[in-house]
Amino acid sequence: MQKTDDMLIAETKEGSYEAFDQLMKNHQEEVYRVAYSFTRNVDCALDVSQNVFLKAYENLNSFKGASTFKTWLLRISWNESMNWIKKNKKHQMHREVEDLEIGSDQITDREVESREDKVMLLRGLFNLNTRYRLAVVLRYFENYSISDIAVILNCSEGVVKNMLFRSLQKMKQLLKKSEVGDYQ
Amino acid sequence: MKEKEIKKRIEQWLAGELSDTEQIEFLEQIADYPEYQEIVEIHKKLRSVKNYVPTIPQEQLNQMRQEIVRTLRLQKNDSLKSDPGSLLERIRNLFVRPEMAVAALTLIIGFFMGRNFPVSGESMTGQVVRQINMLASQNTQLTDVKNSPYTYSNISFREVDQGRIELSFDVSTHLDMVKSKDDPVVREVIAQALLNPSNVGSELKAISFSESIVDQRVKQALIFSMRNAPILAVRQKAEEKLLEYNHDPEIRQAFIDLLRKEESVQMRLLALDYLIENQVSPDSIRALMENKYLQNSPAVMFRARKYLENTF
Repeated sequence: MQKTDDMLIAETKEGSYEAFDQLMKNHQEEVYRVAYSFTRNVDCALDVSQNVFLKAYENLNSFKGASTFKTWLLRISWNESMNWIKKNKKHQMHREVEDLEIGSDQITDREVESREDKVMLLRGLFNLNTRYRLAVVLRYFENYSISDIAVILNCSEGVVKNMLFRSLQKMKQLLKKSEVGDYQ
Repeated sequence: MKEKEIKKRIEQWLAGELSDTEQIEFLEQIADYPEYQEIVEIHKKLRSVKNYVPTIPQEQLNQMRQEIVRTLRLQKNDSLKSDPGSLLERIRNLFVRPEMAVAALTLIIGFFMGRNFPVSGESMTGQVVRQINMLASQNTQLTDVKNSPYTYSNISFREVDQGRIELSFDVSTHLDMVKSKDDPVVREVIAQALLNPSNVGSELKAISFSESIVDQRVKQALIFSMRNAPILAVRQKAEEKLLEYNHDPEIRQAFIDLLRKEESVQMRLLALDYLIENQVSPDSIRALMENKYLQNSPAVMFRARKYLENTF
């Protein structure tokens, strides 16, 4: 029988590293993806993910189950990603290049009309401010509910809805701008 | 339909709160508003994106988890070694038996007197040997041994001849003192803490106290920690402190070494920034870029290439 997160948390609190390893295994990819959406670099995303799990272990006793473990973990991921951004303000340029790399790496998606479309879409996304970007990533790519996003971002559901709307508006403007730029 | 109503409706639509019928109605209502049509288009495109980050090989994630568990095990061992409960207990027990308290105080006072007034006569080692001889002859129970004010480590035995054994061991005891920040003892202890870390917490504390102290041995101890600490957080903290010392050839060299060997990309990026800001020659950067390890890190390579492009 596969153990639930709650069972694994209880075992971790009793000192089992195997249980914590399993907890990490259950959520490592989500944490990594969220970290990547801020760092836009595989190695840096792994650094951030590592810090997220260490923080989670350190603070496991403060997790009382008011939200799901996954939501709690993503909240830590958001905080750690923000810390990373503060420390790495100077590295905006390499991120710009790497977001192009994502575009070319994952370009085989049939659903997206064209390669350029996807690159531009992700570029628009990565140009959003960090809070708005996380809301879009969680909603569209990680399929989180509005109420879970509200818990992670520590705001009301109404604010999340408004953020999504404004994010898409902003992306629309950014895409238009880049289209005009390409044309010129 | 008023602008405000459309906005409310579109928010509900994005949140997935509209029924099928309401969705059809809504899409019909905004048909005449191109700006909202565009938002609907972006929404559809976002929905269709399956992979927005490069897939990461499982091996890398496994490696990350192993590193985390290793770090946690190390931290646990460290905290057991420096358990405050057992330390307090040991100090309290020190004063349970008066002869032990006298012995410990004599040793502590003797240590400082010997340090400040080196006079001829019994050496400090001699005093310690006398104290442990005295304690050994008084201790009869295992609890006495457990409560000893001294910690014995690195112990080895060798039979010298019939009836005699050569003992070799380290003896240490706990001292508490308050000193001014620029006192040589403070600098010495900070450097010792980094050189012989007893636990991660004390290492991080030592690094944070080193900030206002410009001292050769502290600087070298920080370099030692940045290179050798097994915990990433300690290496990062040591690097952060060293970034504050500008135009220092020893630190410059340490950052060059770091770029060749360190695993953390974040640390390598900061090291590269330091070298660029401290005007390391483009040739040195070029030589670094030929390092195979560095070539595996596109972010660092990109930053280095940009620097070289801007230099010419």
